Amino acid sequence: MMPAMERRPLILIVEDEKEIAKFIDLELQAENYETVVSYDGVTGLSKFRELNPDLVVLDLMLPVLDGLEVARRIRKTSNTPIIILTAKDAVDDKVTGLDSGADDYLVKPFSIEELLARVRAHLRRVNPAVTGEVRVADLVINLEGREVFRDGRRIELSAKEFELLELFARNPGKVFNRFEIEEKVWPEYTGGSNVVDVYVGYLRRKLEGEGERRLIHTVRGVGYVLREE
Amino acid sequence: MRLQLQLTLVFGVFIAVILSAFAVAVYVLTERSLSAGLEERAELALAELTSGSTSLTSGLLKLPSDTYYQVLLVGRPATMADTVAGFKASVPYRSNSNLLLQLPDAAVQTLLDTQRTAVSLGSGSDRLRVIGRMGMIQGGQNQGTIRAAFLVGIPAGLMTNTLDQLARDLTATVAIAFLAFTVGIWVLGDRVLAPLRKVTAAAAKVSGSDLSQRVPVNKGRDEIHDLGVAINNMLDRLQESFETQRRFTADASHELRTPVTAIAGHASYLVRRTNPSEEQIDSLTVIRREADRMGKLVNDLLELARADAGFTVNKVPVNVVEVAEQAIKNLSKLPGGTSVELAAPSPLAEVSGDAERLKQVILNLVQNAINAGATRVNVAVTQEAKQVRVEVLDDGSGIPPEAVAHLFERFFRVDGARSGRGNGSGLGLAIVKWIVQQHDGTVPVESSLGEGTVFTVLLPLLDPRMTGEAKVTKSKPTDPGRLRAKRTAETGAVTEPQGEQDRT
Repeated sequence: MMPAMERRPLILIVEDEKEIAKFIDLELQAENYETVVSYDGVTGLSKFRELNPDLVVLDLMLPVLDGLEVARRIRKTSNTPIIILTAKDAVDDKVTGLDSGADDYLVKPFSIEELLARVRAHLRRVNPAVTGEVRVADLVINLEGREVFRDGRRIELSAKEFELLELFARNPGKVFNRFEIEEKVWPEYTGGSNVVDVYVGYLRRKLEGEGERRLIHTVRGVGYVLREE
Repeated sequence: MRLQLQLTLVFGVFIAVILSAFAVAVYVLTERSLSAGLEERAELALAELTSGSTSLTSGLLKLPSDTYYQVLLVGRPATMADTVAGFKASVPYRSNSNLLLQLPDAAVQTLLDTQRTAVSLGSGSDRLRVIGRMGMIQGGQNQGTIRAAFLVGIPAGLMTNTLDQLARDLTATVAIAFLAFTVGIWVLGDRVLAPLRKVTAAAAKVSGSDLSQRVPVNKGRDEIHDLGVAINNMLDRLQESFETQRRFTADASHELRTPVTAIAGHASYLVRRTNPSEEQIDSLTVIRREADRMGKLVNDLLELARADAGFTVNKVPVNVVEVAEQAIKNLSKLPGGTSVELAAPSPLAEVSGDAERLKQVILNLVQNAINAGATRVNVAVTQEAKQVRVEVLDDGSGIPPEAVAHLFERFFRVDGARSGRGNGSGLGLAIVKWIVQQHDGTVPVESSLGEGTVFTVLLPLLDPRMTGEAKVTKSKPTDPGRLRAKRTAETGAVTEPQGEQDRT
């Protein structure tokens, strides 16, 4: 259940498959969100302009105006989180979906728990009152939801990558040496491998995927640190 | 045998026979004609001697200068002279050579019996053609006519030389012609077959996953051109039907996703958000579980449709150890008493690959073992000099040797029946094979009935040059007996020992 708020968040569902729209609607209502459902792109877009919802759940294959175009038009005027639902899951579709301005992407058949978790995460992100978050520049690390956003973009991390980032996030500005890191993140190994360097590499690759500034810095002769400069 | 070689051999033998027959014919005809000429000359010379009308002396004068002759008086009554020995003892009358002595007895006998004989003496350039005839000779004034034998020898050495030369020339000509012809056939065969070879090479490139290749079609409207066109037409139809089938699978799977999502979503809603009775919960759980299973099948079908369409995976540096950890964590509920353990001597085993799909490989192999009735599954990830080895070992009932070859076929089941035991889609191993191939790896299988099965996934080690950051540092050898990373998943209670306290 959502914590009590002055206003229940409003979620716009744009999905032409009525059976799917129906249970998403039921689930979101059960989670105490207010919902509006529309079954095609044009109606969806006009509902968005009229109601200014807090979040949009958007199907990709819509009659009249397709989901990508709806996402693009919403993004022109608003930063409202958009979660795309689709039956396509090829990599190209995913990239196109995120390029169009969507914040997240779920492939059918998806588990409803997953959708609810993503909805919670994105609402938290736009609502800074919620705790359990660490912010470093435009990097947002949600320690409870184990989610990471950079500049609004959701970043998928593997378990170990998240654990490593979490170690930094819980101690911002603290410089860790490789031994400390390995002891905390890979406690079952005795050391001697370059696993820390490799995983810092993985993290940087993902966090700087769109040419963003470096946030995990190498401290020569000591180790690594997470900080703005 | 290669067609070119066959052609050359067949035509070579054929032409050799023809040329030899021709050469023999030429030789025989020439020899016959030369012999006939010689015989005629000898006959003419003999006719001069036996004409009887003129005197013997004038006949001798008319003989060609190189002619040998001998005239023998056989005598009368010719009792004694009618035996070979007696004949040889006959009185020489006129001669410039003793032809009689050189005559074999058989020839003499023939002369006695038939009044005429012909024989060749000597060999090579000394050959002599001798013909003989019995006749009468005018004796002195009062002696009347006397029975006599006339022998004429014509030198045949020249003819022999000519014939030998001819034989040599013919042999050389035949050999050269044979060689030239054979080489010609070989070259021609090569030229004729070259386009065919091109067609074959192009056709070989056409494979199950790439039907877009076409064979080259040459410009001339010849048989090879027609063959190329026919093959390309066949490929068009093949590609079309293949594409139709693939698209059908993809479309059908795609269309199924929406209803499957709706069924699972609504069943889940009823279980979680309403207050169903225990029986209703059971029933709804079945609906949800089966919908999930259908969802997995649909995803597997789509994955294979993508594989058939020539889709390639996206590769980045991936740590297989973590992939295996995640795969084991992701395992759906394990049957009671089942345990899955991971052993990895090092926290790092990097390959270039797609983490999600590699996870799928391990997940499918482990799930496959569990579906086959295994109660203990051991997953081991080790980094070797040039590859990463992932072993999935189970204590199941094993796979019969005759089934091993078919394991990776779609919808293949070891027991033959679509028993549906467990929740396998029947596509798991086909997907494993495709993913591993996409990573340039192999999946050997070893199994012994009653003892268990080992699936080994071998993936090429990440090329250190691919990662800018990861320096290759020497890792201390780790005691393999002390495998530190161990996960036990029992009855669905999947636990991850470390980092647990950090999570809420």
